[in-house]
Amino acid sequence: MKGIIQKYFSTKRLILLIIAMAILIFIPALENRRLLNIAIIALMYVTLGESWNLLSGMSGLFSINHALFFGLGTYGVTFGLNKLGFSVLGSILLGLAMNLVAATIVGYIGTKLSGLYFTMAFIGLWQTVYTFSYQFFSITGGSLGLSMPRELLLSKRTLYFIALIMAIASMIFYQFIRRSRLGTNFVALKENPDLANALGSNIRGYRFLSTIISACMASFAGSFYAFYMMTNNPEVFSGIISLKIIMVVIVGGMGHVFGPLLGISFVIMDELIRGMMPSQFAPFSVIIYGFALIIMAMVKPEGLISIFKKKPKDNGVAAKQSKKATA
Amino acid sequence: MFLKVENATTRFGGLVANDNVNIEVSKGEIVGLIGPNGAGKSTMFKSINGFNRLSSGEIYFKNKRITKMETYKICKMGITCTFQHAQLFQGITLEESVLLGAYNRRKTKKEALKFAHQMIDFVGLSDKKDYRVSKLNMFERKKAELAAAMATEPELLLLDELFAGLVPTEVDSFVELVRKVNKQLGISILIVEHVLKAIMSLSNKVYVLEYGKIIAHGSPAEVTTNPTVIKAYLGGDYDADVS
Ligand SMILES: Nc1ncnc2c1ncn2[C@@H]1O[C@H](COP(=O)(O)OP(=O)(O)O)[C@@H](O)[C@H]1O
Ligand SMILES: [Mg+2]
Repeated sequence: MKGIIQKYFSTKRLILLIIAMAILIFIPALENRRLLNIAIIALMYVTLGESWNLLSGMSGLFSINHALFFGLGTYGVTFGLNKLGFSVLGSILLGLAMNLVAATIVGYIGTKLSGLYFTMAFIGLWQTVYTFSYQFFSITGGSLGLSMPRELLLSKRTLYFIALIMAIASMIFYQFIRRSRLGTNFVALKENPDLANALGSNIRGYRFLSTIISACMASFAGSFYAFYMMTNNPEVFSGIISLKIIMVVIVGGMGHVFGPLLGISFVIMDELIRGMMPSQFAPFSVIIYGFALIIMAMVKPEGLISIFKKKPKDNGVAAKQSKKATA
Repeated sequence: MFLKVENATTRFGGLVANDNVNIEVSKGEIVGLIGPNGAGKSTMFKSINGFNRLSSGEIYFKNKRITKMETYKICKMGITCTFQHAQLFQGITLEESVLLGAYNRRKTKKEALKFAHQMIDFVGLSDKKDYRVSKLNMFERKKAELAAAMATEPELLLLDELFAGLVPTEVDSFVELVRKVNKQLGISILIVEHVLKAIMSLSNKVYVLEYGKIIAHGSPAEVTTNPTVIKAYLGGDYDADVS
């Protein structure tokens, strides 16, 4: 166990992590509802961020409508519980199953053809599902939504800890994949697919697999959101959620396990600002995201993570060199 | 037959990049493919590797037809190529780049990493294994590329202008390295090269391409004294150049 930890996290990182955990465990003790809500949403975005990061940051497939996978996770739970009488586990699995279908469609079209088609397949499927969620009232509950059984109402504190565990688990999972055979193939796929192919990597298979893994991660976050909202709402598919997921990773740092963790500073800021603004201005928050993205692109194109790296393109090597030199 | 290219023709619109090309490579051989720029050498390599689809003709490897096979499957069968314009994987370390190749025949990370280290050692880059590819110089990058290709454990290596951009002393040491790959590991090699001295000293057999057609083939000595080749491609005073 100790070996595993040492393999994945350096001592410095581990200490930082422990401090972060202490703060995170302390938050519910403050008994501040608004703060707790923000924390829950922010932690959920860590999971969503890692999901997007795996597909887009690690494997280089740009997912433009990640809310599709998130929303299906939510609808799987509400539909399973409300209409089919499934158990909690069964309805979470239903969300996963729906995501498998969606990821298979996107992945199939996307891997048959080029990267542009991947994005187009995504938009097409997303638009279909989004429209469906509004239109077919008897199945989806339309814009009113399907409510969840009252006895499943969880306390905010419980939700918080579930979100926290999911966030940590998704980070560990991301890093585990990155270090594995899969991760090497995913990164090679992003860096130079033709060469990866020539070196025996089944690039279409790995594109497909990356899409499926990413969709399943987002599905868990979506199912969690159903328990947070206690209902569904077509807006779980909205472009704003997709945009936020992308921003969390880009602001934090693409292709890095700590990217989403740093990136949720943006979500927290956004929630705080929206709390202060009159509600009729809420739609304008998109403008703020847009500006934040432009500023980030200009000032820190590699994300907040670059603050922590001395030489962003050479991480690790320079440090090891100087260690050797002093030894 | 080990590798057999049979009447291979590749058209890009109106352009015939390969016109009825026949090439044979026996196991253990080093075979050279030369010709002026635009003759269709890279196109031939890409066809063998499944990146291009032949307009007509067939390619056989170890008596199996590989004409329409996917690139990664051809690699699994035992043919690996290096690219003319060396890119490798810029954002990851040399070690991980070679590791990807090693996963071709090895399931676990431990086994693959061990073999990757052997290959990095073989090309003499052990001290650079934690470097990002983007930090390596041209010479090191070419060696890294060779190591990654070798990590797939091929039976046949296709090397496309691997020596391009190297200074003469580097070319000399690379020639030795390629010879070592062939002699020590028993890997057959099909090589495209502009540095004629290098290719003539390495090859058992040479094919000359011009405008997509094979205009001559035979031993280096035969090819360099072939009047058609001298006239069409090498120029009158080439003989002096080889010796
Ligand atoms: N994908 C392609 N589409 C169109 N023309 C191509 C393509 N690839 C190569 N060609 C053309 O085919 C000819 C042969 O190219 P190539 O095989 O790269 O030559 P060489 O490697 O011998 O220099 C050139 O005229 C080149 O422009
Ligand atoms: Mg060429």
